[in-house]
Amino acid sequence: MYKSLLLVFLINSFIFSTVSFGQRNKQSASDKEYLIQKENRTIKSIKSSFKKSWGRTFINFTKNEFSLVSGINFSRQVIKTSNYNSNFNYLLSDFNKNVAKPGFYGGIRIDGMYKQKHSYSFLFTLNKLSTGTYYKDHKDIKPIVGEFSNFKGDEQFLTLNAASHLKKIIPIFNAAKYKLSFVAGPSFDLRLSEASIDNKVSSAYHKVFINGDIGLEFDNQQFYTLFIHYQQGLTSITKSPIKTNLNRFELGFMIKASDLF
Amino acid sequence: MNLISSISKSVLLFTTLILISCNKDSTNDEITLSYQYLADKTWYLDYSQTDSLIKTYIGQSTYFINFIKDRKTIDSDGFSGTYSVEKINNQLQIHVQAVTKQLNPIEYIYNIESIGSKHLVLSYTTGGTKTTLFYSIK
Repeated sequence: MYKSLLLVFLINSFIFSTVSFGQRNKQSASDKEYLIQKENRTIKSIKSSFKKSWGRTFINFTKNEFSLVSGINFSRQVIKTSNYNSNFNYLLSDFNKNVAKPGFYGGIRIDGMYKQKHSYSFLFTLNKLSTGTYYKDHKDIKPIVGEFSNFKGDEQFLTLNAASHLKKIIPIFNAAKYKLSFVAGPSFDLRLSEASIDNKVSSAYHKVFINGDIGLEFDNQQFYTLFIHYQQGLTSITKSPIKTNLNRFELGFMIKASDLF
Repeated sequence: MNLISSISKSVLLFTTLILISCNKDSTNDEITLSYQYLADKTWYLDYSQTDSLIKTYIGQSTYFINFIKDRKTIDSDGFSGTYSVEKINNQLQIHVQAVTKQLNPIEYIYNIESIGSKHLVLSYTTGGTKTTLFYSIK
């Protein structure tokens, strides 16, 4: 008697729990759907307001195309310490290397037309610079034999680079297939990496480096673009009295984002 | 004009980024760097200079001092003890508290004129006469 009652009770509980679980499941699915729709609406509204504000601000910037860029760079610092003094000595034979060292970079680029006339590009890249350091002057600590500096340049930098270039096609190829362009414009590097302990002492390096860029770009039937840029530091990247000029070559490769995604 | 305005906006964005990135004060970095160059090395006396008189010890059995990473020191005269780097009146100094072989306590202070990974220049003044000591690692 008890057994049959217990069995009925168990069956009933199972049926009720299954029904309520199903209802809960349905409820949570509809909640999820509601949240996704809400999320999509929010993303869409952000996108449309961004597009509107972009359109209003950059009304003359048309035919924008996003691309991904990456490549290698070769950098060199030329350092003039002038009358800088510190308690620290660096034997120049260990550091003085008049060479450009290789680094790498990657980022995004926007190409378009300004007022339907001028081709331009905006470039935003993360750069890992590894630089050779060339010291133009030295100090002596007599009677010790050798050339010294009171400043040791940092050789590694991580920077965020923003560049704006104007492009001009050089008409030497069939422009429908291949395009060779000359580019020029300013660029800014924001130093993201911390200074080494040697330079924390003097806080020698600026946060922002300003450069002037020139380069050549070869567009192969819009499949990809190869380019070579030269960036010349326009201001010293170190604080007075140390004058440091950073310059670099960039060899890069660019492909349209729409071709990849 | 719009191109100039866009470039100005980019410059403004960068300036804002710079302003919000804080600049840490680095008063102890000189001391940390001095320890880094000084410690775990044996420094050999190459030259000493008093006024304009320079004595060379290169190629001879010379004085040496060992600065160990745990802030202990021992020298060729048998003095052993502890050392610390301090900056007093804008002058970096090495303070040594040691005992002689006969266990007599001794304390001395050197001014750091110049320090690097391979060369160390210290000085002290006694009776108004400055002596500069030039050390190197082998």
